[in-house]
Amino acid sequence: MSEEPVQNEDLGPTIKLRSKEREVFELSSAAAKLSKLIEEMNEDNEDSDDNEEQIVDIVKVKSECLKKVVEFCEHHVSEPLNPITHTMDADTFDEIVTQEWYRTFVNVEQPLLFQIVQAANYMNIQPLLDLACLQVAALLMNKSAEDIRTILNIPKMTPEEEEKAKREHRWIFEA
Amino acid sequence: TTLSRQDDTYIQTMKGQLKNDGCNEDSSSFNSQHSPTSSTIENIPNEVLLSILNYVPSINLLLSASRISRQFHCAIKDNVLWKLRLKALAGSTRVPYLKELNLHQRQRCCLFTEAHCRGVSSPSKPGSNDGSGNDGGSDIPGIAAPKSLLLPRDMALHLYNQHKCVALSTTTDNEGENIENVLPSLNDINGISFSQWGTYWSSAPCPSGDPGASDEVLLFTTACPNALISEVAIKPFTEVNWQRKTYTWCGIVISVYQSSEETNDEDDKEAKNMVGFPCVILDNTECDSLPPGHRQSRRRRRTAPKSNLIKTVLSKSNCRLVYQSQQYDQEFKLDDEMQTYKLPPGIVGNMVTFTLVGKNFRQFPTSGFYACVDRVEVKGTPLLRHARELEGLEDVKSWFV
Repeated sequence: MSEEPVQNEDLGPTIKLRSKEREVFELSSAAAKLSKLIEEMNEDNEDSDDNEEQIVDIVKVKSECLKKVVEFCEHHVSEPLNPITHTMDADTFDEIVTQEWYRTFVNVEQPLLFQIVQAANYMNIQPLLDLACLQVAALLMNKSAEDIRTILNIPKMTPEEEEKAKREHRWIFEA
Repeated sequence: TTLSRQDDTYIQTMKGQLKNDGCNEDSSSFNSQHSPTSSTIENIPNEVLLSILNYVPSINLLLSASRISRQFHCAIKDNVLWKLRLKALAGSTRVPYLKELNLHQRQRCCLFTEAHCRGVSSPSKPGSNDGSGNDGGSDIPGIAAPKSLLLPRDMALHLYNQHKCVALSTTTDNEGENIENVLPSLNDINGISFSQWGTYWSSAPCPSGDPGASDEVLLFTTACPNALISEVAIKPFTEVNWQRKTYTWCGIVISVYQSSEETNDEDDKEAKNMVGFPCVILDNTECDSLPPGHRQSRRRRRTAPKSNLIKTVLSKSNCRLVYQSQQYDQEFKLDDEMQTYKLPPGIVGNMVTFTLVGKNFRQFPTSGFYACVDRVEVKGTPLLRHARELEGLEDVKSWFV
């Protein structure tokens, strides 16, 4: 087995990412550029010998989530996500995100979705953050406060707090 | 997006809860039944929550998201959220003109602008979205419908007699053809009246109709201290009594100004802009001198020009130009339809001018060139400083119907 780092001629040398559970994932150099955190961490390793393996510890991200992040970054190299620039308004999620792969990618269970949001924020991957935030926003669309609390498993406000919040925005219905 | 499947009890209870409004489940018992899975959204940092909320339309934020939890409620009251949202809607070039708005005004701006980006204009009935399963979904509240921002004509004439002007024109031909006639009237009569006198504004005659040599400026103040202006309209006047003639212009330029109460002018005695309900211009100046050779009719006295007053008002240090359109050329000289001009989003001000460039027609072959206007409209939404600003001002409220 070769001891030299795996290199893809197009994507550059591979970078290894280590998750919270110490599991290692490989990421091409081109894909790694999407993350400003990885970029900064890599700069610290500039003086190291090129033949040595570069392992970046992403201690705050679990394996299940990091795997998804790597998958996103690798795919983004070949098919960049179209910028997401506006609120949902009358459009559905599918009308804003027209790329099928990304629609499927972010269609995951809620806990994993929130982990992806946090990971994207931590690793400073803007396209992934935009996509995941949009998916979370889609959960809130056209639903009452009660329904959203149910879906997101959030405790209720006290009746007084909720009544105050309702009164605060009654001005919206002025003629 | 699939839901959490970690707890069957949670799922079953949730399905029962989601029966629309007919659900008999007691919400407090529901909370005690579900598995105490920690709410992962509560672990999300505030700046990330703001990123999520950035994609939610303003109507949903204010109506339902603000009532989800304390975390959401606080996030929605964050000025940063609304500053960024307004910047995205209006464009970064407008940011310097919007930075003085408070939270409530920003919310109004965003609500109104998003509604018009969608092209929806009809208001819903008040209260229809309270507590329903679809609050803030597809209905547009009344606050998002464009309203007239001009003072009604009768009120304007009443103020004019106190030397407080809400409308000015560089020239006026005769008394009775004053600029206040083009303001909205609460008592508009449909149908044709015998005389058109008192229903339009006419410029003074001009020997030339050339652009630049015969331009007129019509200035209107808003009925509120600050307004988000979304569209303006102007209707040329057609004379029908003597001859059928429409006194149009060659082109038009629309400008919006914002006048604040503070002024750095040491000598502010002459023309003074007063910002309030409504915004008025105190006309304590001496009348501009009438041009030489001016002939006064015994029946209809010619009105002195106000061009100097307009220039003074617009050049004051507390008055800044917020927007100026390109020149729109009058395609059809005889067109007397209402011409509507939509403004880009984020135009906040309290004075609008219409510069009528050139004049197309003489009244008679030997007379001068005239421009005449039947009606003017300035529409948008008043940017009240807080939700209760109009409490106790019932008369003022009626101006914005």
